[in-house]
Amino acid sequence: MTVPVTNCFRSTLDNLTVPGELARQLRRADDFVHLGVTAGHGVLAGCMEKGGFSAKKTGMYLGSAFGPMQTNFEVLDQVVTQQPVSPILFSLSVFNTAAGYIASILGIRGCSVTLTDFSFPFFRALQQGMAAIESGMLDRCLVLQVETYSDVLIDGTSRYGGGAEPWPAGVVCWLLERTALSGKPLFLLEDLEIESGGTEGKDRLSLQETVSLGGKQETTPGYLGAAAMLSRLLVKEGRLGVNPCRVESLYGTVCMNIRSFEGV
Amino acid sequence: MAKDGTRGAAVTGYGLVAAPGRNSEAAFTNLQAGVVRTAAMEGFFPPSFSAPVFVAELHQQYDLLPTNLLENQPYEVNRTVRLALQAVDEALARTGLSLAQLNRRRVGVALGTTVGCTFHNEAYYIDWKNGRETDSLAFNTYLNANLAERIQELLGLSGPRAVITNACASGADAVGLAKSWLDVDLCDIVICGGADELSRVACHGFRSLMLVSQDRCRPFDKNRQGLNLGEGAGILVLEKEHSVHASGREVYGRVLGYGIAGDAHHPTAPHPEGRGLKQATALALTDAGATIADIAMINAHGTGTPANDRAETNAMKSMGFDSDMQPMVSTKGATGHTLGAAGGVEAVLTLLTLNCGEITGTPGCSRVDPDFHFSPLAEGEKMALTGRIGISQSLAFGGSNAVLVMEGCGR
Repeated sequence: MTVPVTNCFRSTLDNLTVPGELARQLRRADDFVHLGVTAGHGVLAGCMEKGGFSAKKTGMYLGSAFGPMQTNFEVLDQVVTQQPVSPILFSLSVFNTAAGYIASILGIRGCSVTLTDFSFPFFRALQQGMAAIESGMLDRCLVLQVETYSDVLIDGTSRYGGGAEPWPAGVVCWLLERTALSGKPLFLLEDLEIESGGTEGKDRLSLQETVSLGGKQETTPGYLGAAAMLSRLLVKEGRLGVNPCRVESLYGTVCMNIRSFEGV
Repeated sequence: MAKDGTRGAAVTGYGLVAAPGRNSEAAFTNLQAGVVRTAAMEGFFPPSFSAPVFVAELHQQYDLLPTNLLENQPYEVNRTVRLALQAVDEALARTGLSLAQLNRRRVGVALGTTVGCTFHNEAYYIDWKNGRETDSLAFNTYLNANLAERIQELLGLSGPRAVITNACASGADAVGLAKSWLDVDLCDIVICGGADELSRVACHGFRSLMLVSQDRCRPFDKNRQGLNLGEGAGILVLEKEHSVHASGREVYGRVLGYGIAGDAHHPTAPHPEGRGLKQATALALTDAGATIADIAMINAHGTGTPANDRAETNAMKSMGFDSDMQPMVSTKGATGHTLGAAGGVEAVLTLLTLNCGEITGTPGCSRVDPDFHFSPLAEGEKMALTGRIGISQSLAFGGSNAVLVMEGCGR
């Protein structure tokens, strides 16, 4: 089956602009939640306004390599220094809190699944999202990757990661639809396969992902790299047609077909 | 329903480690006998607060896996992975498959956890904070601690994998995801469930939310004060029914249906009427091709917090379940709340109850809250089941709800 992608959102944390209407609901949220909710709002707001939005048939798969790691360490700091733990901070440290915020603020009542993996978290979420659309479980599905990293991780990367550059925090979000409910698809996805390769932990700190699409290759560092690059290539530069796409890294390979709408 | 029109996934193996026992047989026997084993863990809760926790007994005397499995690794293997391995070993041993046979098949690994995927090494953090040299082994251990990846790598398996971090519903969602993988033919066999270890962060965090009972927890009781934390792992091995029959191996039960739905209500509290839980239950029943009348028991999430227990009983009543026909219990009075493991642990206990044909009342519940519209089975009570199909339900932070419909084989 072919799954349409009808909207994309990507942003680094530094460039994130939170819509004013979300400010009140996000006043206590951490960066991880800000990124997730803003991205979800960015891809869904248009189709909610158009109507025909079925809350029960809209869901999400959120992938992350590290989850809300900075917030996790803020809670750990309170524990080891014997301060009272902040209940808000603790609730934000739970990995699926961003999904909960997205669902609550955007009124999504279908599945909300958070997946954690050091290897290809976006594409693992995408694989499950495509299956949910194909099976008819969902009509609309947000697929996200959110990464905020942490000061501890950045320090560990510089100590043990062979001088790898720090990665920018950010988010990538695609909206999948059963049929193109929101209008013309940006592109279509088919046959996503993920092959995992064995990697020793520290190798991941100097990671690079190479994206091959349309006969061209680009290599990107960082955990959001391939998902963000692919979004840019597909949306901004319009590299469409019928293209096998391949993402390669030390820890495995992702293969899928990406088609333009006109190519069907 | 699967692509080939069949319903459900066959359970060909199950394993469990939690406070009631080091394997599923011991745990279920103790649950039936009303044995409750809690411990007081020094330093686990904030100063001037103490509460019981439920500790699992970890061993490394595997039945199927090599005894030296964890030796000569370039990193330490954390407690969550060890708990999972103990339950995986028991589950795989029941399947009648050797590791060599598994390595020739497409074997998926879908596991839920919460604590197990966090970097909560306190010594490392304190050294980092104080500008001291940090322990590279601790850092590397974290980078090798993805639960599904580690199990896949240690067992030499190839197939899809997922670590689901949906808070307290993670284990149930992992089982549901595993079933969907078989439905769409993504693999032949799936090892699924959940595992989690006790952590000080979780103890302090749940305490900060005023969700921890200072005494033994009492799910559904009039005087319930909150939950107790626990640790453990619950694992199922799922396969396509026709391939199991072709090999002549034993089927212990089935996962017939799965439903997941959100409350869209609150970050940490369930919807008071169990809005998402009702939707998830309806979806799971539809997926199973079952009706409420087919259900013989409900293994509730039943944490013992006032809000959770009220939401679950409200939801079951308003859906039309009848406590005389569908007795509802919680097992968390014996296991504690094992967080990401809970859905897996409770799926195994649900299966064993369905196969036993008799359900044992809720440990810790001496007097059911009279304000409930649906009356769970209290401690000391037992009831014969009227059928072989039951429900295991999980609720989570983020308003996520997961429901499994399971069938026993009546042994």
